[in-house]
Amino acid sequence: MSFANPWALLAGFAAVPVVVAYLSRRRDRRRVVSSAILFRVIGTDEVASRRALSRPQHLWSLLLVMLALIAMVVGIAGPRLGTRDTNQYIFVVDRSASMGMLTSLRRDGGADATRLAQAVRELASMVYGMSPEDQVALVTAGDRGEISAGASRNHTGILQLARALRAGGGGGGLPEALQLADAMCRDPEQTLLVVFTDDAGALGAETRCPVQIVLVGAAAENLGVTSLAYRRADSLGLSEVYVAVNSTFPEARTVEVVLSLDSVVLEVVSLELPAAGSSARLIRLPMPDGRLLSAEVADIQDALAQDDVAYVVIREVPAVKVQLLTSRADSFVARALSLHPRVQLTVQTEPAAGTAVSAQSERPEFDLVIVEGDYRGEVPPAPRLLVLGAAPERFGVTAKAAVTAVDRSIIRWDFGATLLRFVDLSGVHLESGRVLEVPAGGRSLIDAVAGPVAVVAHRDGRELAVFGFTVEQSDVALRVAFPNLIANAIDWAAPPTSGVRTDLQQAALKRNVLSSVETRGAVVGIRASSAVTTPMDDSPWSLPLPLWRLVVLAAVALLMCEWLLPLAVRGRKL
Amino acid sequence: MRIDRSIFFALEGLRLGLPGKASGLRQGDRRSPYRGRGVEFADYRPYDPGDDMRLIDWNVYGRLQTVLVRLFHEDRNLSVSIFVDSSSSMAFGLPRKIDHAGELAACLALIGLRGRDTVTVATYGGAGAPVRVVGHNASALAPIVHALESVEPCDRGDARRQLAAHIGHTRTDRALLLTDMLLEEREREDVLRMLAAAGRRPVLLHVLGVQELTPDLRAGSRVVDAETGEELLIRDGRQAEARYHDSLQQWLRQLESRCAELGIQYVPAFTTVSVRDLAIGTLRTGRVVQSAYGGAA
Repeated sequence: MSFANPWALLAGFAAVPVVVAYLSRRRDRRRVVSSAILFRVIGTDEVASRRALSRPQHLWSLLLVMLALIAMVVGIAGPRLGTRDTNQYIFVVDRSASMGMLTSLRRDGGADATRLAQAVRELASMVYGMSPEDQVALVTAGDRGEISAGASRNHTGILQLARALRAGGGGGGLPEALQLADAMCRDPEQTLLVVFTDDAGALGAETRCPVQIVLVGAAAENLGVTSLAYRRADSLGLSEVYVAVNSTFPEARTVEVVLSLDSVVLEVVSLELPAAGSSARLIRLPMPDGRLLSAEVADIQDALAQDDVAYVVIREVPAVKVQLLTSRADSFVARALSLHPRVQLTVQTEPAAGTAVSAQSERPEFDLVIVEGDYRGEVPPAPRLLVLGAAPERFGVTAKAAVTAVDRSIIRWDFGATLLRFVDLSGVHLESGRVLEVPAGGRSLIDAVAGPVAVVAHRDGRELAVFGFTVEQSDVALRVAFPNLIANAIDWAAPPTSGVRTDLQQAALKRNVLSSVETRGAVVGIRASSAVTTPMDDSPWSLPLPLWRLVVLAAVALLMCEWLLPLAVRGRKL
Repeated sequence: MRIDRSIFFALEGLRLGLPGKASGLRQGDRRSPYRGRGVEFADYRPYDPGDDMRLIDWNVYGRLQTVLVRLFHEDRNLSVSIFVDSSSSMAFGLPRKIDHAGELAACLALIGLRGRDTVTVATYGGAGAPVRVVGHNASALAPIVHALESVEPCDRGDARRQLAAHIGHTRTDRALLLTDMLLEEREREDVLRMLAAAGRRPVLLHVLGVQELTPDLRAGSRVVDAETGEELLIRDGRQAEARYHDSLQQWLRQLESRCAELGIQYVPAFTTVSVRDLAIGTLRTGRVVQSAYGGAA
């Protein structure tokens, strides 16, 4: 309880004039009469003592008024009567996109009708009920957790920051925000983490300090784009667009999704949405690079407008400069590379004087150099080097043994590696090759029975992938794995794609595509803990705040009765 | 004081009452104790030289050869004195007691003047110079009203001396005293004795206001005497009200009883009753005024 509250101080100071008024009330009733003769029978001559303050005549009334004022002061000052240490409240506000959902379907509800606004109101009511000595902090959770304001007694500043929050992005930052808040926790006995969210299930790990979850919002009817992706279908500019829409409406409905390219309508896709379900469609469309693709659900009224449109930027894919150094005149690898639409291929079969590039060259000429077979010439510098069956010692990798007929079956490969995505090596046989030793800092890509036959490492500032066999030494060229391997090698070596070119793309990328969790907007948690300030001490004097408000109201009513009743009686008499 | 002249129109057909005979110096229409010229025969007496020859009854002289002079009842007017208390205690109440008393005095004066009575209106008890106006007919009403209106309650003068001065100057058949009688006991006794000696069947018109009759003492108060500055503390509001009421009734009974002992007619003329109701009600009942046409009292 603090009496620094200005209203409490005001009510406290009000006691002084009230007491003075009661003590001096009789002096104010001095009346001049025509004659004192008639009053001598009932009067006394005590007036000889002219005291400034007389004894109070209405002692009970004065006591009641004092009681009411005390109740009012205590009620305003705070709900706790006992002394306690300064508490620390760390507010974690979820500002993910789902917090922008309207609490009702009325669009005219404005920003005040969102879950975030509701959370801020709950936060404000808690702050108003705190002691001025209590410290507060604000941590926000969007795509990631951020500390918006450290612990301080600036309650007004915290409220201003909270009111300035805008919903957007994913809700993946809530566990991180909670961890940040827990890290700011000074003393678990005196600190309370208050989480305002609509998805208490995303809180994650346990915390040292007690957590109070204030669940906001309610189950809302929403419909939004949960997925928008594209990929090149061929090298002729045809792309595949994948769009998915999720609905939480209780009835099935048909929605139109407008696909636009740089604000020019490209296609209108009709989707049949089941009740509380989702629907997806894959469309093939010719799309040039460097454009902004958007998918917008047309003519829909739902709880969240942010997910009614999704964006994705079709980035420009630059060509990959590849030099194939091979000892073979006709190579499978050369054929495969020549068919790849992004590859600018240079094939060199014999060492040439002009191809020897100094290691001190500032900028490599090629993005990828592939050394195949028994090529013995100089290898130019490149950020990535792929060695297929060449002598590994030239590149800092030791060959342990040759692959024998007994142990030439491939038993494991790292399908998570970039080079081996969608590469199925099951059943691939090696005719010959080398068993390699995994270099320091490197790792094995492919293991045969005898040991690693392909490793990756980082050597001399470049990424190095060494295969102990050539394509021709295995039957991989007969499998789908081969073109995938080549395509992966191109992707592995591809330079970074070009950045976002226009402001529109920049703005759209900030919104991107909301996750289906945000779109569904389900409220997950225990509502029983909503908007209840958990007392942090077990003092028997602690009482819930609403009771003190009742006490204040009763005190005010008592004062009103004390002053208005005599007036009413007097008026009735007149 | 302020006098509402509209009340005068309600006073038609009234005249001042008198239980005895009039002794005014002017001829009037009231029976007087004197014998002389008049209309109604009273007696005979032997002729004295100098008597008016027209009063000799020649029929008696023809039969009895004795010269007798006829005597008649003389009709005189009434001599009325109206004394109005103008001490500062009369300035209280709503309406003010002084206004109430002044209005009542003006009404009585008008009633008397219409009956051609000699009416003397005087004030006493105030710190200022007393006012004294004498009238014999209705034309004197205006000076009397103006004189009364020029008087305002002011402090407290020597009521006994001023009243004695007025009474000493006037031959009075009936004296009417309008006062609140809020005087100390000895002074009050002197005033009552002086009034009793002022004429036959004097009248005390006791003027009290609401503040004296039913004061609000519930919240307790400190009362200050406007004339003397005496202060009294009143406690126990509701009980004090009851005790005040009892003591007031007792005081009024004592005053009325004392008036009766001195031959003074006591008439309550509280401000709670309008002047008109007093004039045609209480005063007629008390025979202070009566019908000019012989109607029942």
